[in-house]
Amino acid sequence: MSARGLAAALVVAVTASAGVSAYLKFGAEVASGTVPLKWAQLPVRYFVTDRGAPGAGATDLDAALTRAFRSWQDVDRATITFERGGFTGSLPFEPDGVTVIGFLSRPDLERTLGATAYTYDTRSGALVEADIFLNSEFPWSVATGGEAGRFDLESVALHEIGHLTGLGHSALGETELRPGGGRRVIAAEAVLFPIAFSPGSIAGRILRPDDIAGVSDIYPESRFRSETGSISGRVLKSGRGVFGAHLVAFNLRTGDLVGGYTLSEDGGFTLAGLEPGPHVVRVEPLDDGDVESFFDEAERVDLDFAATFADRTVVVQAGRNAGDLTIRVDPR
Amino acid sequence: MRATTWIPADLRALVSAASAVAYGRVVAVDVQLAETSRAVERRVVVRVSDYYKGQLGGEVLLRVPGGTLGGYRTVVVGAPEFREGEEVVLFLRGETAGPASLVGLAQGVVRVRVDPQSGLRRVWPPASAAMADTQGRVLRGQGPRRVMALEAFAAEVRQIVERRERPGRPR
Amino acid sequence: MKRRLAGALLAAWWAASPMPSSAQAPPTTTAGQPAVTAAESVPARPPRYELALGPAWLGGYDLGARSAQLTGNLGQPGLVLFETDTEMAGGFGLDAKLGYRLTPTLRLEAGLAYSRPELRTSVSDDAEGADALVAVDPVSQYVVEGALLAYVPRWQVGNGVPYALAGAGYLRQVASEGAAVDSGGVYHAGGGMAWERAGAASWLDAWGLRADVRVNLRTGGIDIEDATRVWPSLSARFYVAF
Repeated sequence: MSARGLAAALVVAVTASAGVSAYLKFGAEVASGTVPLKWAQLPVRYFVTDRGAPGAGATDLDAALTRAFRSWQDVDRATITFERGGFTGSLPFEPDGVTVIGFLSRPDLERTLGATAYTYDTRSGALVEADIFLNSEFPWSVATGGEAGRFDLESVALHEIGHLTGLGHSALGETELRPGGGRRVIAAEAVLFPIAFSPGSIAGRILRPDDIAGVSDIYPESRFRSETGSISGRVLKSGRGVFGAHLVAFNLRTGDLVGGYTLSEDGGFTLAGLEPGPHVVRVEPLDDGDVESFFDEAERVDLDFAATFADRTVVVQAGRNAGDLTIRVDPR
Repeated sequence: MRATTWIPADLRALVSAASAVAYGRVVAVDVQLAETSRAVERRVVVRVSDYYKGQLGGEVLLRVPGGTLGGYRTVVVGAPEFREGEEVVLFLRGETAGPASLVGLAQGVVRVRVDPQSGLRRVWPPASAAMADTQGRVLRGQGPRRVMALEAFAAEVRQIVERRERPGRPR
Repeated sequence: MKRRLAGALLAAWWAASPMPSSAQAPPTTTAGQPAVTAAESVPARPPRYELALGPAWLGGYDLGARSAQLTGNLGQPGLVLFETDTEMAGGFGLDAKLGYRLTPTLRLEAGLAYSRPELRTSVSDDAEGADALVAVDPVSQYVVEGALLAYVPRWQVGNGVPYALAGAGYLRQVASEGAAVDSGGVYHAGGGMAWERAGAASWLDAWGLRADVRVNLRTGGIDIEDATRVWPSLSARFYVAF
């Protein structure tokens, strides 16, 4: 299949699987239709490359991964589980049918701390392996309280493992330009925000409500649907649907922020995994230059509108959908 | 979709890190196993129309992780996708001979959108000072339209290149 | 606390109320004709039941403020994406009651109160300049309640007789166009005035008007905290006694 088909397949799958979705969930098109990219068999078995990097040996990596995997596994309303298979001499990104996580030296990827890759069977859609590489060209830290000038290994591992479960990026974050060039995070409220916190920060070790809602949505425990609710609706501009808008639901009772996107041409969205209580909903364009961080076919994404609040407070009840919220935005 | 943790670059950083900035059309996309790592990768050929910085020849060969081989598809969710026929601006690192690599992986690709009726070419550029408020914050949904005509984007890139080559010259 | 309140009200009523029946005899005018009072001369068949209906106004109450906060990067305090301030705004409603006269001065009543307050959230100070607004969700509010009314004829003012009341009820709130339902308890106490006339028909022993002001206390229901809320209300009811 050409790259065009691949890109189309991933976006189509996301759209088709957006029936109840707080997130972009990875998906793929196969002969029989579209299937979500998720692990059919649990626990997910992984191996750790027996190789270290500056600031973190192989055992340090192993320990950090154990903590990070446990964070995801401990999500109350999600069924995802993991099993450590041990050390291996294999490297990540080798098509060997085994999920491998390890350090790789990639000086050509000088702005990439880590990345996740999937391999799946194009006939059935079955996920075969999902490897994670962490770039050993960067200085890493496994210190309990973080280390100045070094990236926190557990935080980046936690983010990449989120992708390994099938989650896409969250747009819950704000950035600023650095005086010397480049950008940095001002603040973020999701581990799955694509841009890392600064070296020395350990704030990325804690899963946020947005992350928890996402993984629970993909691997729901029986209580997930009965104990949380959702908000559905549409974002319209001049009467037409807005594709690719970013939405945030703010729970007035708990202070939780959970994000989502309009994933259809009619501007439809569903924000799921919400704790019960009154919510304020906000919509904004993904126009800060990172559209491709969220959508493959970026040209479909509408960026021409201002951030807007819904004019209705929405009370979410456990086990129910508060549907039919229409948010009208204006062109800039 | 993207599945990386990255350190974002603004436009100045991309221009600075690139040995070449090229505008061109994707003419071929092929999949094979990498020679050293055996990882699945795509070889993307871009026919260059114009260079805003540097010079790597009339055609540029890119190696991008991921692709479909046999009955299996590998998606390196972090690597950019390319379609034959699309127009792109690439921030590249490389020499004239041999494959080039993208600065910052997907960050080094700026898509060119062609209006089917007018033929006008426009881009959504990487973050730049024009997008930030007085405190340097990059705000969503704010300020003037961020889409730029390709010519204006090219001029901005060239201006950054010129400033870097002549640092003492007043703006 | 509720027991003490109930006890205090009962004690006050007992202290203030006259002896039954005999004190209900109406004062006479200078012409020797009985004036119209809230407690008429003993009719042939004392009214036992009352049916009351009328409008009510409910005051609002504050629910609290919240900041939408993002976790800050190293050395940064965090970013407030926007601010919110929420209230349950008051409004008008309808009140229907069925009462039973235990004694000439003591009534027991039960009924339904319906109102449509608004859950209003002021959203402001958006970090990216989104326009401030007030997000509104109308709430259909039902209260099934009962109350004890104690009249104090010795404090009669003109034709009006004051009374004290206290009661409790079950609260049901339906929000977001029926998508959310919550419940709680409501307690109230207050006082008012009643004006009554003799009925003109054989089935109608008396009719009148009651107006009262209450302090209401709510537990549970739609809220952003687990807190007890207090608000005032005014009601006026036309009633018939039979």
